[in-house]
Amino acid sequence: MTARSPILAEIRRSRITQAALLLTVLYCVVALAGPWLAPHDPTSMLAMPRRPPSERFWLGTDEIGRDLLSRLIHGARVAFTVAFLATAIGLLGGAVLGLIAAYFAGYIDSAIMRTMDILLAFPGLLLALAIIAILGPGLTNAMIAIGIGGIPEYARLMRGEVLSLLGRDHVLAARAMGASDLRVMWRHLIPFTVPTMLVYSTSQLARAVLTEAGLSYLGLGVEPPTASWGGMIATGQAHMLTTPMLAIAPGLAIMGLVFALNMLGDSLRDALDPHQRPVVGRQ
Amino acid sequence: MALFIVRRLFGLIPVLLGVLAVAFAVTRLTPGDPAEIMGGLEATPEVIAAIRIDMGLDRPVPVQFLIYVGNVLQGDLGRSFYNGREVLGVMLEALPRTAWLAAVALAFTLGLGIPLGIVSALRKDSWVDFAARSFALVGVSAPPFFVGLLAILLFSSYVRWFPSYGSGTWRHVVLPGLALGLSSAGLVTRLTRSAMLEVLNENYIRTARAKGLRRRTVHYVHAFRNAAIPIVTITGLQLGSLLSGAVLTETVFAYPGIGRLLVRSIFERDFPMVQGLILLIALIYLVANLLTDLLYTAIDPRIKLR
Amino acid sequence: MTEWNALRTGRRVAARVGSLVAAAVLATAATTLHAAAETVLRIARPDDVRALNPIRQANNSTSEVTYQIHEGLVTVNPEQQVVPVLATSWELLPDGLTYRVKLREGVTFHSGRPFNAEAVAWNMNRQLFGTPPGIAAGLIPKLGAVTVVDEFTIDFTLVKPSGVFMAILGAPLFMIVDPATMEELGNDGYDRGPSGTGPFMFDSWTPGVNVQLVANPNYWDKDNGPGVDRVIFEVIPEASARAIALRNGEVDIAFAVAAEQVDSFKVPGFTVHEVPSTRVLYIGLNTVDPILRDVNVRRALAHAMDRELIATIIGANGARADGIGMPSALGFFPSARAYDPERAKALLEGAGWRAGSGGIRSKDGVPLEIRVQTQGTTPGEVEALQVVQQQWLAVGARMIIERVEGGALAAGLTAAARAHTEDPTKIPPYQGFVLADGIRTGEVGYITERPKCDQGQRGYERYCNPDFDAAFDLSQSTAPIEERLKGYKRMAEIFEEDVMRLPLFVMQLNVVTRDTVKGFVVNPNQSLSLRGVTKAD
Repeated sequence: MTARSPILAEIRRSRITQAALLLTVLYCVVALAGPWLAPHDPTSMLAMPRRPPSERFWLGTDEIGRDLLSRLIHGARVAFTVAFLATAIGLLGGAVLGLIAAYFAGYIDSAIMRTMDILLAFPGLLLALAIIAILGPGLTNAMIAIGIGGIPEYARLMRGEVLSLLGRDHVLAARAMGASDLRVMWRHLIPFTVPTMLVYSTSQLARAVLTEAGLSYLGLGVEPPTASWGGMIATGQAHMLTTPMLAIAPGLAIMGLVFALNMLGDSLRDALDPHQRPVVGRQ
Repeated sequence: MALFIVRRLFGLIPVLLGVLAVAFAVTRLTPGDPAEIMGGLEATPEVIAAIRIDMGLDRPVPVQFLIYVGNVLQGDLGRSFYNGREVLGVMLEALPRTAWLAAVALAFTLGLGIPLGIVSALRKDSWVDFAARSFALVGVSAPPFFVGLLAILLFSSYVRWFPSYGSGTWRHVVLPGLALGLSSAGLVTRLTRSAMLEVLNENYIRTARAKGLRRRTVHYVHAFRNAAIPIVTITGLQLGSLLSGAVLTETVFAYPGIGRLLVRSIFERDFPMVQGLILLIALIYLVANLLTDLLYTAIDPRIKLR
Repeated sequence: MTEWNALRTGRRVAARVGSLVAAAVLATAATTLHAAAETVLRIARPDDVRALNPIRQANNSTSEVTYQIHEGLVTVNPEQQVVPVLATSWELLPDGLTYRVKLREGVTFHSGRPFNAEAVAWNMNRQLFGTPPGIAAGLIPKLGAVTVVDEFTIDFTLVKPSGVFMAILGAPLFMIVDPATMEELGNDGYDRGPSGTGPFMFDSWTPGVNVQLVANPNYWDKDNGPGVDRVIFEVIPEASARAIALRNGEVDIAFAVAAEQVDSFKVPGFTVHEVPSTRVLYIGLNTVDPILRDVNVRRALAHAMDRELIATIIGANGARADGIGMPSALGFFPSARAYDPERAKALLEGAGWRAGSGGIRSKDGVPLEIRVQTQGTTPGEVEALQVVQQQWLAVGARMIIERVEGGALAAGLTAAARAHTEDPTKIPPYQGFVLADGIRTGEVGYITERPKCDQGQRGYERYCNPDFDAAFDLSQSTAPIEERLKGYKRMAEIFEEDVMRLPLFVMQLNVVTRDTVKGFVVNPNQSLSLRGVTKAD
């Protein structure tokens, strides 16, 4: 795991990376400590609808009199839950498929990669939309849909990494010494792909946050009374002319998180491979 | 070259069949009976049974799929469950609007992204660079529906320069195009910048400079020509994200293109329409990728045709 | 020779230029004339029509448009009275089953073909026995015979006496289409060129964008016909966008204006129409569900709801509901239970539901959780449900809101109800469901038929009580109005007693018109008439 040090070096070196990391950590803390941080219960009606900001409700109340700030904080939990689990689904699914495709080559490789081609024929959000259409809306289904959408890119990345590793001396040596396939994969292939896959995951996290927000905005994600930023924008849109805060606050929350994750992903990528071009997480 | 194109086109066939199968499976695995939807809450069982037979929903699913593929090959994409209109006709009515929107977004993407990226690279680490990079990151990080919402609030409600909904004139496309293109513009800025930086450091540029060529010639002719390859690639690939972005942007602006048609059809469980749209979008996307590949080889003769 | 040729060519060119100029001048003149003369009424609505074929679709957003092109025999006016349109008079013959309807003479369809009794008979047969049958088939009482008496007289003979037959024909469901046009274009093709007798004629439909209608110059009612040359129904799904479009002058009328934006239009230049609709939103309860089959649980849930607070939270989206229906409808009697959380708790205690972890009651290890399915599309619906969710929590019941897409909601309910009808051991899995029922005939009976025993797959409440059926039949009979009202009263008592439905709120129609629009009236039953509506420049 020698690849770790350049990442640490990058963090030590770059102010921007530090800022991105700090912002991301801040969001993480808000997400984790949400229930203790939030001043009120995010689903209780505490006052009249659409009150302006006050000492009791720092950002005012929403369309049915709930505390907007508390809902924003709880929305961070939803965003992170979906983003992490969806990215994990994509990472694990894609890594396993990419590894198998590269390692066993031949028909297995073509079968897997052709299937990935089919998935890649559906741009971004559309695959998630199609999957949600089958599974129905909801937090879990949104996670699965976004996760599956991420699989093909991970599979391609993993396949490329593994193919380049297969020719290396230590892998050839291990195979020559009769190590089992599983052992070769586990000891000699997977560990070396970890840094690349993890760095790519940072931008995938940003993509997942944006896609979840998009699905919830369309009414296909998280259901009430659970707070989700995309859903809050959708309901806030109806009140845009009278209480713009309802849509603008969650919108800024999404932008801040995606911004931080993108910056972080960028910096890490630079550290790992200065020649690689930025690929940021988008829908 | 011709052989290459033909081979690539043949390669698309299995993918398209897969897409067709996915589209069909997606729409048939979903809960909800289209006959019930057609009939509405006030329909009697007899009405619903009659509608079901009328729509062929009483046949086994594999048979329905074979019939569907056969029909698609003949250019018949079926009729909307909702109003009986030809799916192809409805899609072709909406497609030009999305094409317009995508064109405006793309123009915005390239018109803003490339110059900004070049300037940013040439003035590396200046305040211009910093501003351009910040814009790019913000653009990339902003959800298109949120940008659209802010644009409506600002330009339709407060200053009233542009209409807030609908289609028909160029004024209707400006705001949605901006909202849709912002994120791609950010990406192209970043890409152009890094591609330019990479090229500027390469030997032949140094050689060109050493040979005394004018700085401007060096930058614009030599450097940009070489940096253009990744830009073309990413622009081609942008079409996919423009198409998915269109789903959200068109919803915000109530813009009657294929994105909003898709969302509406999903909510209405209009199977033939959803199938047709998935097929259409996948086709556009695949063709765009193919064209990107061709353009890419045309720009850079070093790349060998596989 | 050459000169001659040149001259000829020159002349030809001159002639062509001349005619071109003339044509251009004429065209410009025509356009100017056209533009000056044509008054266009633009109406912004949240939804598009589903079809222009009224035999196929008749939901509100569709019939608002198709009812301008087509007309019924009678209609229900804003005062909720049944008034003649294509019929001029009707009487119940002494057999007590046959309605003899006199039809208006001298009316033509937009196609130019005459309207007569044959056309009405064709329409009724198409609605009831066509493949597929029409949308009105489920609502029109069973008919034994449709007889053409003479060119402008038709007899409808019912199987069972009904006092509401004509009122049902007044709903925007039974619209008379031109039989020849329908046969020419077919069920699918009819959308390309619908032909009725209405004040406006079809011009174009761009799905998802707009429907354009033009005035019918030959409309039969010269005193109350089309008052504008063109009507455009624009589709603007988003409430804020509709408000902006109205304020910027892009449209003349906006339907479904969001509650909190209504006030911003109470300024000179606009007229706000806030009209309580005849549509009531309620949570229907599955009365055979293991938890909800206990009537005391249903009563407790009713007592736990504060309908007054719902009305406050949703503001101008709706008004308090006191039962199934609203005071303006014939046959309405309050049936909702009073807000009384203590009573609710006592009822739940008495039913064996004990306070448990997290404030949720449980009984034999089963938590008191009620899943409520909703489309969440009616303005104020999700807000109202979330209010109830909190109030149920206060008495120890958890509501799980499940958002289901419209078609899927109806389909799921119907499928489960059908299974239970065929095999009573198959208890439907759903518990609560939110539906919005609109009275379109002026009478409550239009929306209270479902809890009857004979409703099969449409009886989502899975309720059966011969007492209720008898009360319903009495309310729909040809008996004098006092007797029918007794039936209605009894139904309300049973609704209160057995709590099959929990009323949420009565939807309010919020329509804003620019002051240039005159003569526009909002009908509480959401049937739209643009006759006599004018627009000044």
